[in-house]
Amino acid sequence: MKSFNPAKLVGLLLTLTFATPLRAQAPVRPVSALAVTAENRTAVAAAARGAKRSDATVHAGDVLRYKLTFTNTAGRPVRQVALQNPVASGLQFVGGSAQSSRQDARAEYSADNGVSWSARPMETVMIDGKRIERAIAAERYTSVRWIVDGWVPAGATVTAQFEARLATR
Amino acid sequence: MSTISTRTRARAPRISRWLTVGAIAFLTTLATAQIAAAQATPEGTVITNTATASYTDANGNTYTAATASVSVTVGFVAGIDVTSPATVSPASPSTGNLLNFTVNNTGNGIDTVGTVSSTAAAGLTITGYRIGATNYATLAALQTALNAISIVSGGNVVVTVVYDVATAQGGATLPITFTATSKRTPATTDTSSTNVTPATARGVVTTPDAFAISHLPSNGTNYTYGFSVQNTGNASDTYNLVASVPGAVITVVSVNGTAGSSGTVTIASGATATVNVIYSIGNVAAGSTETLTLTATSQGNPAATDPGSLNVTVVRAALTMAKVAYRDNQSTIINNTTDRVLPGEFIQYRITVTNGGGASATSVSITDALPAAVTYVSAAGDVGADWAISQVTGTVTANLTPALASSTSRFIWIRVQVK
Repeated sequence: MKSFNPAKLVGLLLTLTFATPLRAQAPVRPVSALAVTAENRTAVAAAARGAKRSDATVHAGDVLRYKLTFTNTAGRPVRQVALQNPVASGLQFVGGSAQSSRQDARAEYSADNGVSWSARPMETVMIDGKRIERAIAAERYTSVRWIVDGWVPAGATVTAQFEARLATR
Repeated sequence: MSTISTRTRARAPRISRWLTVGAIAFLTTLATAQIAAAQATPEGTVITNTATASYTDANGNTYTAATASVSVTVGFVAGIDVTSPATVSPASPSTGNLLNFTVNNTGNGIDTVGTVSSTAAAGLTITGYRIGATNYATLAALQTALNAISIVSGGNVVVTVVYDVATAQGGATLPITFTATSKRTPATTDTSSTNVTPATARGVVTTPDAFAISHLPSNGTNYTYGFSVQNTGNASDTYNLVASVPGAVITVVSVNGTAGSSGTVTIASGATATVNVIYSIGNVAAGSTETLTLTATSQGNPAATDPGSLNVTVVRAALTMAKVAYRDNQSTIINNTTDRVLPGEFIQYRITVTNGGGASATSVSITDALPAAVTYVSAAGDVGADWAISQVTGTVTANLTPALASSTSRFIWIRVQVK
């Protein structure tokens, strides 16, 4: 008679128990998985100096800080989390302002409306007939995104922020 | 000149015409973006920032990307930029000159010019202002008009300053400024300054021209003539002075204090200077002539030059003398052919000296050795006080104190008795 190994059975059941629901899991539509806020850093600084603005409008030259907050509402760990934010028309990305709460979040930029991405977008220019490669000025970035390499636990949040200046002219 | 073209390295470069097309398309997009970025975002614009989050789970399930947006509204920021030409060059003097100041609304919303001010350097006089074809006599009137004009963002209003330029301002730098403020944000103001630099005009007039003058030969005495040199230009100028003569009658000694035949003089615009030319006349015959020319030439513009001249005629005194015998009545002439005198008769000689030359004769002296057949009795001049008459052993000497002018005559009477 063939002997029965209880430990092997338990391992199989565990596999079925967890694997099946995951495969059968249909993508859910989380509620408020992403929130974004804007803060006028220039107005805040002015208020700190006692020059409070009379209204909440933004003025040319003001620096706005956009903060993106992603909350994993999927009920399970998720990965390949990408937070993407086009720079709205009229705004100029402030170089070096991209930050994230996750150390494993890579910031990338696009200067061509999301067609290509790079941590340091480059361009080739012809100056006096010579081809020269140079970095694109941050002010010309059209989008910024963060790609989180690791897992984001269920219920955890990932925040990212960048600053953009309202073009003066 | 450097030329710059750009192409973004979107991916690893591949040689194909499609890349070229793509690059051009991107460049077009980029250029548009830069132009857009170069414009201030209009007041009231709502800027909506939308973020997207995407993710997968352990099994590779994808989820509907989450999006979130936040909006901000652009407020009003005033911007005033007054522009004008760097320099303008009207004439000096001139009137009714026009200078445009363009008040640009560089803010991001409709604005109005609040206060305005204007200044003009000495030598300029602002006589009025214009907006289009409408004249405003005062700055206050101009300001009232501007207060009623709404200027859209990126628009402008042109204010014309009407001004006069005074005389003698050639080459000067005379700024006119115009300041405008935002009515919505009075702290926002801008000033533009234009340097009015009237063109320098050079001119000179030297007088007299062909002025006739007579001189004796110098005989050690130099002559001085003051020419008038007038600066008819609109700026102070220094003139080169050259005195010239074609022959040897005149020798130039100095010009305006400088030995030799040349010198300089600096004259303010519109002023006249007297330039003394010192010269001598050679020991030449009466009637000799020569022209002394003084030419003043602007150092600022050698084409501005003008001569003045003297026509010098050399003159000398030329005396002639006549001696006529009269009866003692001083009216009846004794004709040596028909008349006779008798021993013991008193007769009188009238000696007349005439200056037929062109110059006065000084120290005129008559000496008359009486004939042996007569005895000196007395002598008198035509005007007693003018003559000093003496007689020594039959020789009469009469010295005329005043000069004997050209073309004049003087005479004396000598009374004698026939032996």
